Amino acid sequence: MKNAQLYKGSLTTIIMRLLEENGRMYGYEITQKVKQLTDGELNVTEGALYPALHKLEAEGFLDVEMEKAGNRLRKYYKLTESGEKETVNRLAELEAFIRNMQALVKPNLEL
Amino acid sequence: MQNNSVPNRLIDTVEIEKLYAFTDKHFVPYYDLQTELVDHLANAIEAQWLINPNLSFEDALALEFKKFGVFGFTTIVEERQAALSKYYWGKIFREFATFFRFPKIVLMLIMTGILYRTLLLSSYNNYIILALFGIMGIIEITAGYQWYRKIHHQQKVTEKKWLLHDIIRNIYIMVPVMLFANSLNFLFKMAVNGTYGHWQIVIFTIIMVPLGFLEYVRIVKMPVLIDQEMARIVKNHQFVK
Repeated sequence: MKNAQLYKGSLTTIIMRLLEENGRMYGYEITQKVKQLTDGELNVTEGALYPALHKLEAEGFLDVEMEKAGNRLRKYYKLTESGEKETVNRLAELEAFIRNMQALVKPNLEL
Repeated sequence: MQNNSVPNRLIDTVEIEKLYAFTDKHFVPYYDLQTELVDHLANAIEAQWLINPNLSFEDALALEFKKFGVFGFTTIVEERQAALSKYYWGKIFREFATFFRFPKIVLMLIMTGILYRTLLLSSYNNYIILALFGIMGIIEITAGYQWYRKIHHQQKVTEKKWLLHDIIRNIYIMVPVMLFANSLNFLFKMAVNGTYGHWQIVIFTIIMVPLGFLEYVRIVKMPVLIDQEMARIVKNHQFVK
């Protein structure tokens, strides 16, 4: 990732969007999915991902399921009902942000 | 290039144990958090082996741990503690807030009235105030001791440390000890100060009654929820072979 600062505020929205699309996911899977969707451009660091997941869980937006995966336990995250509603709100906010940034950075695109 | 005739190298049970020991050594003593990190590291190491099957377990682990940054797992532990603390204190204060709404506020007003009248009519109201603090102190010590024993017992039975225990210790032992230690001087002054006047009684009553209800929520209502959560966490982390 070139500039982590630019993506920082959007991490939780990215996570929620991925969970909305994929149902349930585990931490490592999220990092790989982000990498794959952005062709390796965006690399969600472990130090940022887990605190974001834990915060969303504590806020009641995510629910967890533990499941056996081979010889280890895996923690899956999925959106709760309030999480689903929150995802819609946050996505709308992010889209508005992208629109505004585009208008500011490339104003001639509007023409 | 991947050779299809050779199966992908996977983390074995001994290596899983090594990963648990690794997280423990890097300041993650809690089994629930360790489990999530162990699975993450195991996935990442297996992905490394897909590219380079000859890489040793130790080297692959060192490479993956580097990705957690200079602070290692510390940020994750601290932020998890903060998120959980916020969650439980939030629950306590949200429940407490219901006492300021109808119909519970009626009970609060009645209690305020009774305490105010009692203190106003008594010539030794400083001792009543002191006794109320004393009762609160005894309740706190009892609750703190019960939690201490329960945590000790759960750790012994499960043979593991859990993050929620840390939060419980904070809510039921650390915070009360801090608050009471800080108010000892104030309580002493109160005892030797003599009888209190009208306005002092008003202020005291306004503080004491809500404090009592906050204690009720913390010590009577919350443990039910915490016990349920703890049982769920332990059950979720049981590995059935």
